[in-house]
Amino acid sequence: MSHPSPLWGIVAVVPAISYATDYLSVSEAQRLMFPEALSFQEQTITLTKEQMLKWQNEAGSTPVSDHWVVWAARDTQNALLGYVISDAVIGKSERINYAVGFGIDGHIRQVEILAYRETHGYEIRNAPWRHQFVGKDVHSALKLGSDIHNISGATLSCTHVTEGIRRLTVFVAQQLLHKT
Amino acid sequence: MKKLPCSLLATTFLCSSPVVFANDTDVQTQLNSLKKQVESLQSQVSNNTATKSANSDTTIGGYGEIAFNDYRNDSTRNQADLKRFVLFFGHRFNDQLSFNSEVEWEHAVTSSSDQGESEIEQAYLNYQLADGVNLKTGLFLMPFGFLNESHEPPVFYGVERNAVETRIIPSTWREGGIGLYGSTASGIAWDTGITTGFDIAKLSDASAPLAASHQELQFAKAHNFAVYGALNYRGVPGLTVGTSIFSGDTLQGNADYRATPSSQPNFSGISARTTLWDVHSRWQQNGWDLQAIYAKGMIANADKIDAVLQTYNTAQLAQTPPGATKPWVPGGFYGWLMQGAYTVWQQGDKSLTPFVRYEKVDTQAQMPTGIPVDGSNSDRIVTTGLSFKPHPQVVFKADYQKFKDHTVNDRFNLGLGYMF
Repeated sequence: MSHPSPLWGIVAVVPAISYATDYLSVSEAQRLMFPEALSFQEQTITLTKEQMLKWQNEAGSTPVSDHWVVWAARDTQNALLGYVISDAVIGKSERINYAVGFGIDGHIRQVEILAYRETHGYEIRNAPWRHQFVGKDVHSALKLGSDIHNISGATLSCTHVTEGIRRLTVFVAQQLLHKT
Repeated sequence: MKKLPCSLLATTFLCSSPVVFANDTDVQTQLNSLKKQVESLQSQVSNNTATKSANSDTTIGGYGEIAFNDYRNDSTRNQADLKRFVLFFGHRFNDQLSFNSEVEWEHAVTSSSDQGESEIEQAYLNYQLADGVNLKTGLFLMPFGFLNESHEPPVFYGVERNAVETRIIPSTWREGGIGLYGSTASGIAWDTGITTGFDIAKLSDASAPLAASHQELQFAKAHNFAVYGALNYRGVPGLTVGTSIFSGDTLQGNADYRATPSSQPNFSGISARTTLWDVHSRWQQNGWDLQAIYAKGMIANADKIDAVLQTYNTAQLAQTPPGATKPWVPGGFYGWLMQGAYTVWQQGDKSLTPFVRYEKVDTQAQMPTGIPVDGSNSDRIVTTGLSFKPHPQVVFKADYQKFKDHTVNDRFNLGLGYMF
């Protein structure tokens, strides 16, 4: 994007689907993850069947959507700082919206819970649990019970958020970094 | 009247359009902006495609388990049972208000001539008052120990639920009432409320005093209510340290036997405050899952209750043939356990986790003077076995249970379970 500022404005006014149980909007999460960014360049990526299969095989769980939007964070010099992707998984029975910020090397920079509606497992929102993901990348196990610790009483929520983040990590490596 | 506005509109449009759309660049900019906004919204929706099924306001989940018990010293006691078939139904009315329920069938067949049960274990409305603060009302699970609120087979070890969380803390224990609960940013989860309580007058099993007197919101005697509170710290990933307490009078004004005072025990005028508390801790890290629970229950004025029962039981035994006696009510009962599990193998979704558990329960630890203690109500149990999960939500279990004080109960168990 040669002129970041107009698009920056667009991202800011995009009315993210909002719930009373939302803690953050996507644009707020973007600013938290990349406070030094001037703009968040939006790009959509549509995967082929072969890319979906490769993604699933490496992630170890099934991505349902083949159509994704990624925000590329750029600084005042228009240099790429990293990426933000928002996603949602089902916890036990309710939807959990979250966003993950990745550095340009594909390492996780930050995880933010955007909305949590389950009656148990609120601790997923807490910084110590989310911080477990920081620094992990496609080469990390990202497995509940091994490198990611469970929250007793919220096993399904923890499992599914961990699975979702692992999927995004593989997605970033395969589609944005073209490492694998 | 109809033509005038049309012509006015046409005139207005024709006159104004050159002004509004004078700048083609502006038009293009606005169109691009709108296009981007639409694309952005579409892509946000698209990213959420994975959760399309959750976009429905009504959700369904469930769990189930089948077990086989092989008694080492008496194979005539061996049995295979579809222990539970459970469905969760939930509905979200709006952002704050939701309904949660759990419908359960036990032992495969339920009819007047069968032993199965069908029951509603949860049915409550939940209202989110603020971020991390909820109000619940209806029939809900009591926040004690680990198992009571999380009793799906893949999340606990052993084919059978542990003795502490069945014989001391009843399982699955639920009450009707109202509760306020939430969680802080520092990881402290709290839960407190007012609920229905036990009905000690109907205690029918000395080996599990509270399981034998909980009311399950089935025409629950509500002469006495109870209060509860629970605190759990989960601020460090993998760690849980918590405590819970429940207290309330539980003789319900002799409601059970008020109509037949001459042929039944008469507990009128006796206050029987029942208090149950527990402390529990769990550490799950690097494949380890270590757990400890201590639970203790107390029933006030057990001496007065048992004095009434003594009169009643003596009269029953004097009949020809002797009538059925009622179990003694204990003054105190307790249990504790320590459990360790370690995932020795994990590949993709599959895992293998051996475990060992030691537990002690005594449901007649404190009895009124002169009331005989039945040794069968106390035991030390060593359980060792493993869980194989082909998927985190599906489990196959095998274990061996050694009942150190009653070896006649030693058994080998096989089971399968699932949750979704």
